[in-house]
Amino acid sequence: MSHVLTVAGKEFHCYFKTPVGSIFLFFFLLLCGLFFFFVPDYFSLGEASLRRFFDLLPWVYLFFAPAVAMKMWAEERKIGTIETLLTRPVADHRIVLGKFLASFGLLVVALALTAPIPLLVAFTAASPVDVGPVLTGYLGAALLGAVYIAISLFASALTESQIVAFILGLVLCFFFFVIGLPDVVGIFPRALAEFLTDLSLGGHFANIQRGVVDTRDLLYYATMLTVFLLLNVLAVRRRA
Amino acid sequence: MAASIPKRRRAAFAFTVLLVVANLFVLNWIARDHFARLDVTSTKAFTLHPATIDLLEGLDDLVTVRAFVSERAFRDQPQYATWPRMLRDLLEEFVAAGRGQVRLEVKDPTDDPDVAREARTAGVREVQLQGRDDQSAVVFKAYAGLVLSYGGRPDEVLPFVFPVEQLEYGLALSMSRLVRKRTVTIGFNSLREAPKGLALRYAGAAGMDENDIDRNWRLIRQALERQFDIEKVPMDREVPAHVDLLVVHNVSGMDEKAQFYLDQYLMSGGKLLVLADGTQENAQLKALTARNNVPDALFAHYGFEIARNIVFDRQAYQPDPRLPPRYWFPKLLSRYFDPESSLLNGIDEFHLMLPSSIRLNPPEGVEAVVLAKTTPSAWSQEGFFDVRRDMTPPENLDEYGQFDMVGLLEGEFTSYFANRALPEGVETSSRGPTREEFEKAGFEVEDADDGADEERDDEPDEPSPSGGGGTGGGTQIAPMFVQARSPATKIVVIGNTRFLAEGAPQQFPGNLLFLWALVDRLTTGSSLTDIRNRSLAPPSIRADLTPGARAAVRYGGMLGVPALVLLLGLGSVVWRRARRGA
Repeated sequence: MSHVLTVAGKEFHCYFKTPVGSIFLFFFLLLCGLFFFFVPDYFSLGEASLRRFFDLLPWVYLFFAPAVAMKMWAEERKIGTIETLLTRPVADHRIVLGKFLASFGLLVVALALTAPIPLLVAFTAASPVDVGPVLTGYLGAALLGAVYIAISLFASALTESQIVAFILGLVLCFFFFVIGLPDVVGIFPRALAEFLTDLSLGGHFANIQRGVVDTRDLLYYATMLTVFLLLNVLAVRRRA
Repeated sequence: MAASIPKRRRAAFAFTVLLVVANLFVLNWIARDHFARLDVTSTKAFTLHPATIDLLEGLDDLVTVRAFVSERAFRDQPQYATWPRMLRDLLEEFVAAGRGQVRLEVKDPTDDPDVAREARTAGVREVQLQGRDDQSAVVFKAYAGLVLSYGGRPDEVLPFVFPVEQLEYGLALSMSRLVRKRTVTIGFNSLREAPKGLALRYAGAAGMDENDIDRNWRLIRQALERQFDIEKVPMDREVPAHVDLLVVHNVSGMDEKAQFYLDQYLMSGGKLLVLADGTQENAQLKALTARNNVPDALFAHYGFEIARNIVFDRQAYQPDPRLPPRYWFPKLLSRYFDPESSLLNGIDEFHLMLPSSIRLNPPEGVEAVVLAKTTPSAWSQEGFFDVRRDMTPPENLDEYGQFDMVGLLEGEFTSYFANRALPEGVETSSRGPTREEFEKAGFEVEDADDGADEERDDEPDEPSPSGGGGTGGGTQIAPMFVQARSPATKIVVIGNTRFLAEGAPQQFPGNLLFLWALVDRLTTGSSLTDIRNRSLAPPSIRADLTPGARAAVRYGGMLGVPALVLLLGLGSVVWRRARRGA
């Protein structure tokens, strides 16, 4: 475990050695604030709710997660440090887990920095805001973000170009998010539609963000996370 | 070296990954039917309401729920795709809470003519819905009905149960109706002669005519009939004992005899919901003037008064948010409801239309509570009121204030007729209990003869209910039939009828819900309406936020933290460089 934390600490520290981490956080928070308060105007909707914030998070993640994870493997491969890294006496899966934790750590920091948004919503609400769905919304956002990061890390492991890794990560995340949306499943036959709904990141997030913690959703996120981290290890081994 | 990882090891690892993935898929598959859910919403919006659970736990015989649902038809339509799952989830919650007394049969009539026939025979019809196919709108047909069977009683049918948000209420209601042992009856002091004031038409509301008012009353009646028996109660005879609540919404027809029967109904423990406007329409002038036929003395005896005014509020009904309100109909908001009383629990808001304020002055033994007030930005007008004129709120701030609009009086009331001569024509023969029976039940029975004399001696200036100076023209009733004191009971008073008669239930669903919740809680003390009232809606935005505060929230929310993060990031880089340089 200490190896995992060492890798995670080193990678997380890298985000803040340069302004890159701050710029990622800046744009993430700016987009969240812009779309929540201005597009459309928060006050014109008349409801003091965070549902819209959690609705837009998966879309902001689509850019944030691949951007955060794109350099993790692609850069190592491009500058040739991957050989050095993988020859160290640390198991591959530990390195993968360490890199995942570093990226996920940045995402958690980003989420934590959105805390003023619920506080402002509570300030503008005519009656007390229900805290339960806010907390589960953040739990769901963290789980969804973790899966997005795992997918993006996998994409990064497949190429040595950060741009390609970013685009591939974005496409994969987008695919797994939209396949269960009602407008999409409607075009498929029933059995396939049901399967796609169960496979989709969006459907499971909708349940948890409204305030219902369901073991099926938690198991789904754990499964997706495990699958993509394993694929990540596989991709690293294959390309090494 | 990683590059030297043997191919066999890589293949073995790939195979392990494949096995893990397969196992996880199987695990997810199994978890579809074996799962646990935790609803963390404060209202338990996605959990069965305690009232539903109480109802289900109280079942003493098997209730069979047959669900006829065209699952495929719904799943083929993107916007309805989640309905069948939500429906099934909810029905399964009912089965689980029913502890073996609820059996569920889900049938899809789509491809099975026998099931379709069974559905139609039971009263569930295929309903036409609008869906979407690629870019164009399509119409599709689907079944989504429930049939509840219990013992030998006639089935309860919910022909179409969507939206699912209202299903728990509908299902609980049907189940309670199916298994109930006694019917709750709501009496209206008149239904056919429902008030037909047309204040709104005079005020220029388009399309408002007598037909609209008839339709409104019909909708109100239909809505209440889903839960209660509704009965017209003519006030020229005693109110039947089985009436649990009397809704007095037509005070203009209340002569002394009607007042006597109303009084004695209250004295027998009956509950009253009094709706009365302090103003009346003048058809010739197309204006409102002070109402002159309110039984003020009777109402004052019970502890309330209907003011002869019209109350307006800056917090008003606003059909078009871009325009200022024209009529300033007060919008009563939950934050101005009495927090101690449960009667208005779950009601967010309702509108009163050209209402009058009330004043509560409870007699001894009776407690009074103002259930709902206007906001502090309300004002009133008395005397002649031309409803066709556009209203402008007063400029003088002293004219604004809060007005009491809905009140509750609770306790043991004394009879208005205990010490008075009785109205002419009061029928006494049909009254059931004898004096002995009343006394045995703990009620106080007074001698009307003596009382009438005393009252004349003590209060010579107060007009008698007969209007003729005490006994003039009045017929003496046998003393034993006047019940002088009520057991503990309740009166709810609202200074408005127009909010029901002229406020279309479709346009103001909050008004109907308000009436429904009041009636339900006054009669059964039941919390079934709480299920319906459970709000999935988030809180609204505070109305008192200034434009400056709004701008601060918007810009602060968007730029505050990002700017801080950027500054810290840049500061950190500058600091590093400076340190490196040093």
